[in-house]
Amino acid sequence: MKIETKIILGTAMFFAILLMVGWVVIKEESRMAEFTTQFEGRSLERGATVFESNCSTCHGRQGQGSGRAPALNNPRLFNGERLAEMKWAGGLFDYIENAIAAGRPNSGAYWPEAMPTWGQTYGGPLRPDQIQDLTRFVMNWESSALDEANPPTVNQDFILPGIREEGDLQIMASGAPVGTAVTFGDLPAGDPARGETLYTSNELGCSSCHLGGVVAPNTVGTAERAAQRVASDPALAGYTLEQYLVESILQPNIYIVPNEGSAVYSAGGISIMQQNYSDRIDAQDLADLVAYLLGQ
Amino acid sequence: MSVLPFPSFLDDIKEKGARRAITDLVDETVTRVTAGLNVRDIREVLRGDAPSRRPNPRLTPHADAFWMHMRPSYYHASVTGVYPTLRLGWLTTYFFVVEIITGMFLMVFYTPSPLSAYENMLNLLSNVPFGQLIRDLHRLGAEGMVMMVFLHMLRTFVTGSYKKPRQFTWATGVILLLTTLILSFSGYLLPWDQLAFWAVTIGTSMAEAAPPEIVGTNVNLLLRGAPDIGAGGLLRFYLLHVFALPLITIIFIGVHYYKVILHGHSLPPGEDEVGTDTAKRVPLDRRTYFLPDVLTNEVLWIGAVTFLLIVLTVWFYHAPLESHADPQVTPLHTTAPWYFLWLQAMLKLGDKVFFGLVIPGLLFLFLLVYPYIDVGKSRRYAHRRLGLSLSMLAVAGFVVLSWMGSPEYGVETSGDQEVAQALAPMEGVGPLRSVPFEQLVPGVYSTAAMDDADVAAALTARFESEGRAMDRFTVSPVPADAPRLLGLMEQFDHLFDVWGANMPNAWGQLMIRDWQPGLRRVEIYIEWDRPQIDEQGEIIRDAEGNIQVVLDADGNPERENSGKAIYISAESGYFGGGH
Repeated sequence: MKIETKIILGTAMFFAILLMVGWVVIKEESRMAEFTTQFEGRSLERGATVFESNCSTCHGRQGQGSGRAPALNNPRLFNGERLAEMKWAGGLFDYIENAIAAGRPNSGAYWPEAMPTWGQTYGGPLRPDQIQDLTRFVMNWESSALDEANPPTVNQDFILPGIREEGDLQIMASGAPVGTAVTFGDLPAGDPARGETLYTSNELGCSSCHLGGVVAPNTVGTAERAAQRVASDPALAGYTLEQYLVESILQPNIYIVPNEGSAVYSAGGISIMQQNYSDRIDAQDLADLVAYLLGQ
Repeated sequence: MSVLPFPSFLDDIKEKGARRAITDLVDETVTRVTAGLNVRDIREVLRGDAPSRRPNPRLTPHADAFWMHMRPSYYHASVTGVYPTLRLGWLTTYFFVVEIITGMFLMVFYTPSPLSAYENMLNLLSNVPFGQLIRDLHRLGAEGMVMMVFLHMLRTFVTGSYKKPRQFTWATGVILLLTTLILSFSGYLLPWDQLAFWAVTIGTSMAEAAPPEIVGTNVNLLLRGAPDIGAGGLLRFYLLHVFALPLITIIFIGVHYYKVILHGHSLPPGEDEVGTDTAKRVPLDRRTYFLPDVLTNEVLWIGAVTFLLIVLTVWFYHAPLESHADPQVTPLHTTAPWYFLWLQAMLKLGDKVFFGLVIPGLLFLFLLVYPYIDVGKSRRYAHRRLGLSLSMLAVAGFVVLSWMGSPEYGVETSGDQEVAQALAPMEGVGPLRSVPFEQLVPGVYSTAAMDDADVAAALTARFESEGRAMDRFTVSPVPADAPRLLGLMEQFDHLFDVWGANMPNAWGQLMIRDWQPGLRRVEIYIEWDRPQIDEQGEIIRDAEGNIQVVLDADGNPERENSGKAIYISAESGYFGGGH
């Protein structure tokens, strides 16, 4: 081949390359869009598979819910009611993703079982991309959940945490916080049943730490241990059991149960217990809680 | 006068006039940049004229400039054609340069962490203009480079170019073969998909097998950064891939090129007297100068091959990307990359240490020192019948071993799993997903009753009598407006001819259901007579080789079944634009 021919051919080749790159430039925008659509479709498929093996036992294969977990193919999830109820400020995708990844560790207080944490970030088994696949799958119920002509089966609706049934629990009925300067003599008669409801409610959350004694002293045996301490500890001389319990709820730092082995209840003289119950309950709530605890 | 110790440009203008001064300045600058060629020389090169001054200015850059000194100033006319080099060594270098350039772009969009690597791939494909093109080019270039290195070595062997004085050139080439293979393989892990994870898990498990145990365990720990591949392993492979291996490769390419200049390209075997090497004693009339002939030729090749690569990546080839790496899920048929299939076959033959490490190690050593063993003087084909025959046998062995390395050979799996895998593979598309979404008409279709309503009714009646839920088992013929679904069912039926040897009276069914808006669930269900199994787990056959089946109390064969469900979204685009 003559050198001139080679030069012409080579030049033609480079122009051909430019043409090809130009072709890619023209198609690139739509190619990227198409890939995104396809990716979301396949993400949905993977999400469906993960849902079937991990979520369908409680939430129902078609998202209809069961006695163990609420329906997800549920108008209330998509029409904004649930988000408003939960005071969630973000979008629905974030809400669902967050609920799956972090779980609802406290929901065992008002469901037979707590919603587990699924995301690896929170110690669960699923990778972040699997959580997103699942979220896409749940989000895909939107049109069928909101289809008014053909509404989905909802076997079980969401529960607002803390309230088992309408009217069952009303914290701070009187509207006045009890404050810290209270003695047992000021309190009305307590109702242990309502006390238990309060104790296990999500609003106060006592049972999240005390039930089973994992984080804080065990609920079971409270009265017995309180009696022993009041009788034996000179710091508690002259206390009644009720007074001891009232003080423990409202001002946890005054008397702190000593740390035992791996159980750490305080650090530097500050109890790990929440310090603001005096602002969150009224005299009746306090009396009910004490009445419940005296029976434990 | 100028304050400088030499005449300034203004002095030049005063002395020679503006026009002359400028042309002189340009000429001098060009001569410096090109390390020896002035404007006139370049014009002569481009026009294909003979050099007009002596000594030949076209040789100066080869002596004075770094890049040009790596190329011979002239070639023997006998080696500038397609034969005998077939341009294979040049092509290998070309692909290496393509890899470096495309690799640098990919690095911009990549973080070597299991948390982000796969997401980086998706971002590259969905959000980065030219992202897919660059990734495809990088992957195709890698395959090309491996292929070219193999072929280049084969060509060198066939033409006897490894013989004295080029033994060491061959040895550096063998090292380059090794670095190329490891470069390509180390890049495998980086997308952090299932293909990456499992291919590299298999590959590094060979290192773990190295005896004694303390060596194997520690080599494995060094490579993977932990007992299993994870964040540490990914980072290590990344650093190997983008830093250590390219560096070693570049160094050895330098040595290799230097040796090529030192000894010249070997002439076609027939041209030299036996035992002589005249590659460096090129008669004046047989010289082809690098400038302009060889360079022009190479630029043409760059244009042509690059064009071909881009055409391939735009229309025909896309780098695979499987689902996210998952240590819990082993894909059904995990294979090494094609150039390591022979090694996978060796592992099937027996002991991991002997077949996986000792033999390949010896093979590598043998290749490395081969020129020092085969000291026969003649490079002519007719004088090297034994060597050439053995090399062709080795190539045939490589092909056969590669086939044996594939799942086709020596992998025991159950037929029902294979059928389900063939229809809807765990990774990739497969025939089921290729059926257009609208032709996946919800219903139950059986290979036993594809177009026969009576058989379908009988089957439904049987399910009913067995007390199975009706909505699941109302079998119907494939609708007429779903030809692709019918084709799929025919393929399903045919798969039992391929895999159903141990599954008497097997048939399968597909159950397609609407699941969510735009999402359908397809369940593959397979049923067959349960064969009798002896104590060794072998199927019992009668004298004629027929499988003995387990019978129930009524004397009817007991049926065994298995199933698998997948979901298909209308938007996945497996059909048509999908890849």
